[in-house]
Amino acid sequence: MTAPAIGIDLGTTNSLAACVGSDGKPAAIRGADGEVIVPSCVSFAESGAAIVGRAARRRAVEDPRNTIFSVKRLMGKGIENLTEIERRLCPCEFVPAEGKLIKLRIRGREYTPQEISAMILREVADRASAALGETVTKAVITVPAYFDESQKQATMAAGKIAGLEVLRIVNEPTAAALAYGLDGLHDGVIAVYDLGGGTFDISILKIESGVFRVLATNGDASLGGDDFDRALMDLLIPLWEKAGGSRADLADPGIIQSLRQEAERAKIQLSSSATADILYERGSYPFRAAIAREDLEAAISPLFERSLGPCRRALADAELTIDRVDAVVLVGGATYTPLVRRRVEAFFNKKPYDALNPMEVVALGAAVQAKKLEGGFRNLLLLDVTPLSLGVETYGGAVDKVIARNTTIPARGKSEYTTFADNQTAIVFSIVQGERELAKDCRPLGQLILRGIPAMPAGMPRVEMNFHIDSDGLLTVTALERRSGAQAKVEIVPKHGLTLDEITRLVLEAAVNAKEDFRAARLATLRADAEFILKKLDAQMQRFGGRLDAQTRREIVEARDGLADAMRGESGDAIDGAHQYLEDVARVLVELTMDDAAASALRGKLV
Amino acid sequence: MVSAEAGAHADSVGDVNNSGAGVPSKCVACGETLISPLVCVACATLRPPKSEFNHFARLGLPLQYSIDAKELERRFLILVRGLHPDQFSTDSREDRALAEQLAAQLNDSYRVIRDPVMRADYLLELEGGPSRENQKSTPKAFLMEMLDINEEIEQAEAQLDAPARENLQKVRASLAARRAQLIQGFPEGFKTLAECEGIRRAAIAQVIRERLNVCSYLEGLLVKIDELLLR
Repeated sequence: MTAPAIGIDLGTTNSLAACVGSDGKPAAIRGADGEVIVPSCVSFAESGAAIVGRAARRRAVEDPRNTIFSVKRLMGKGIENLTEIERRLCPCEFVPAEGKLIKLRIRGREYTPQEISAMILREVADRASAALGETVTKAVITVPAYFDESQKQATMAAGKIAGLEVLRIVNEPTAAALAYGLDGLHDGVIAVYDLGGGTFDISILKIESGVFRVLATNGDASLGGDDFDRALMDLLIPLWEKAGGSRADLADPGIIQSLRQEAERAKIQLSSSATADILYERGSYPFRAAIAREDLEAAISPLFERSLGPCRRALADAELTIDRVDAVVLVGGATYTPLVRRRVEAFFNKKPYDALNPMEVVALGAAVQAKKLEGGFRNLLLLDVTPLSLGVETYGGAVDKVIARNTTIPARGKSEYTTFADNQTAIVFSIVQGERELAKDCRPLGQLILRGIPAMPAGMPRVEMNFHIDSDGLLTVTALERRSGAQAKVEIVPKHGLTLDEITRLVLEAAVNAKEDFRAARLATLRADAEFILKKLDAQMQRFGGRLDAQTRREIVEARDGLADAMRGESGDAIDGAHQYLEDVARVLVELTMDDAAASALRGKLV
Repeated sequence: MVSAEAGAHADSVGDVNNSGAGVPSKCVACGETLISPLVCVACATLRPPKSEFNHFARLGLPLQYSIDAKELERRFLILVRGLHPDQFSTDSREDRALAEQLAAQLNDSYRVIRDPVMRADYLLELEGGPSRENQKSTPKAFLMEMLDINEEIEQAEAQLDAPARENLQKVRASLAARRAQLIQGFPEGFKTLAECEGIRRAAIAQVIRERLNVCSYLEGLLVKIDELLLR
C-alpha cells in the first residue's frame, strides 16, 4: 500500500501536513515529537547539513547568519523586487546570480529560495511518512491566493525538488473554505479573511451543494503577522536603548533575532492577557518592561487597515455588498490577535465563524483536495480564479489584457496583433501580470517569440495570441499567424523562476546526496537538540540540584556526561539513546521546576 | 491542444447556429438527451469539439438575448460538475487535457453570457451587427455631457476629501442608474432586431451598437470612480 496524497500548508512562519483518514475526515499529521507544526526555518550546521523546524529555530539566536526564516517571502522574486524589510529578514548574503534568481550564500554554498523551501517540504513529508507508516510521494501544496505566477511556479518547483509529485497548487483561503464546507458550514456566500505570517488574502466564495466557487480574491503578498512582530520590536528597541543598547549594536543579527523572538512571545501573550511582561536577558543590556495591549494595538492598527482595501476590492469584484456575506471565517495565526478579530467583525458586521483551528485549517482543506484528486469526494468541486490580470505588452508600453483578474480557471482568452514594419518576419511578445496600465508597472512573466511570418506590408499579418490557464493556475501562451500558419508556443517560465532543466538537476543532486544529507541532517538536529537540553539541565541543576538526594544527583550527572560524550561521536542513535535516557532520569528535576513555579505563582496571589 | 485551438475559433462568429445541425441532441455513448454539446452529464463522456460551438450553444441555451439567470446558473453548475478536470483526475492524460480545454470553454461562455453587456456585444456580432472596431461612435450629446462629468471627476480626484467623495458617490450612482437603464432596453432591442430585415435591421443593429458603446464608456468611468473611492 502506498501512502495517500497529503495536503501541505507551506507557510511563511509555520508549515504542516494533513491527510484524510479512513473516516473521510481530514486531520493534521502529528510528528514523532508530538507536534503538528514545523516552523518554516532552516539552519545550516557547521558541517553544512541543514536542520529544519523547531531545532533550527532554536539556533536562530546563536547562529543567526546561518539560519533562514520566512524564505517564502523571497519565493519567485528577483533581487530588484526585494523590499528593505525582506532584505532585513534574511541575515545572510544575497548572491546576485545572473541578475535573475535570488541566491543565498550560506556556509560557502549557494541556495535558491526554492531549495530552502524544498528542505521544509521534505521535512514535513518525512514526518508524514513516519506517521502514516508509508512513504509519502504525492501532495497538494497551498499558496497565498494573491501570489503571482512566478511565486506559484517557484512553489511548484520547490515541491519537485523535494521529490514530491505536486498534484495541485491550491490557494490557501480556498483550501480553508473547503475544510469549513466539509465541516458543515451552510451553503451561501462566505468571506475568508486569511492573515498568515507573511501574506494576506481575502477571498469571497459561493458554496452551492458541494461546488465551492471563488467569486473574487484580493490581497497583499507582503502583509502578515511578521509585520506585527516587527511593529512590536520597534516598541522594544527604545527600551533596550534606555538600558544602554546602542543603534550600532542593532547591526548584530543575534541581537535582532533575540529582540524579534521576545516581541513574538509578547505578541502571543497579549492575545490572551492585557499586558505582557518583557524580560530581556540576552547580552549586556538586559531590561524588564511591561507592554500593554493598547500599545501593541496602536502599533499594528495601521497594518490592519492595509487589509481593508483588498477586502473592499474583492467585494466590488464579486459584485456584492457586505450584507450579502453570510459567514466570515478567520484563517492564519495572526487572526488570533484580538484587534484583528474585533475589527474584522466590525467590518463585515458579523461574528467570525471559527470552529476550526486557524493554524491548521488550510492544511485540512489541502488534504481534502488531495483526496479528491485521487478520486475521492466526487461531489465536491473547487472552482478557483486567477488573482491578477494577464496581458500582452503592446507598442508604446501599454498592456492589452487578455484574461481579466478573478476569471474562473481553467480559463482562456485571446487577442489579435499585427506587425509595425513592412516585411517584419518576427514579433516578440512580452507577457505581463498585474492591474496597472503600463507594462513596466506590471510583473513581467516571460517572452514569446513568433518567427517565420512571411514578408507582408505592416499591419497585414494577423497574429492571434491564445492564453490558457490550467487548473493549477499556470499559464501557457500560443501565438499563431493566421495567414501563414506560423506558430509558437511557450509554457511561461517566469523571469525569476527555475527552468525545467534546473529543477531536474536540483532533484537529481538531492537524490544523489539524499542519504548522506539525511544522515548529516539527522546528526546535526540531534546534536542541536542535545545541546539545548544540556544547557537547560545545567541551569536547573544549579537551582534545584541541592534538593536532590545524592543517588539521584549522581545518576543525573552520569547521564548528562553520557550525552555530552555521545554528542562528540558520529552516531545519531547513540545521541538519541543518551538523550532519551537523560530525559528519563532528569524527570524529577522537571517536577521540581514546576512545583517551584506553582508555589511562586501562589505566593504572588497571596501578596 | 494547439492545433485544436488553432483550427477552429471559439469566438469567431456564426460557426454554428444553435437551431441548426451543428449541435447534437443525443449522446452517442448512452443515448441520453444532451444539455450541452461539450459533455454528457449522464454518462460523464467528454465530447471532443470537432467544431467550436458558440457561447449560447455550449450552455444549451437558445440564441436570444433574454435569459433566466437562475436557469443559467443551474446549467453551469451541472455542466461544470460534469466536465471539470478534477472530476477526471484518475483518468487518462488525454481525458484530463480534454477536460482542461472544455472547462476553459465552458467558463468562458458562462462569463460572457452572465454579463448583460458582454452578452449583448457577443449576440450582436452573431447576428451580423457591427463590431466595436467597426463602429466606435457614441451619440454627440452624450459625449458633450461626459466632458462635464469627466471634469467633475477630475476635480474630485484632486481634492478627494469627504465632500469630494460624497460627490463622487452621487456621480457614480447616477452613472450606474443610467447604465442599468440602457441594459434594460436590450431585450426589446434584440427582439425587434430578430423581427426585422434589410435596411431596418441594419439600422436597429447600429442603435444597439451605439448603446453598447455608451455602456462601455460608462463602465470605464465607474471603474475609475471605484478606484478613486478605494484610495
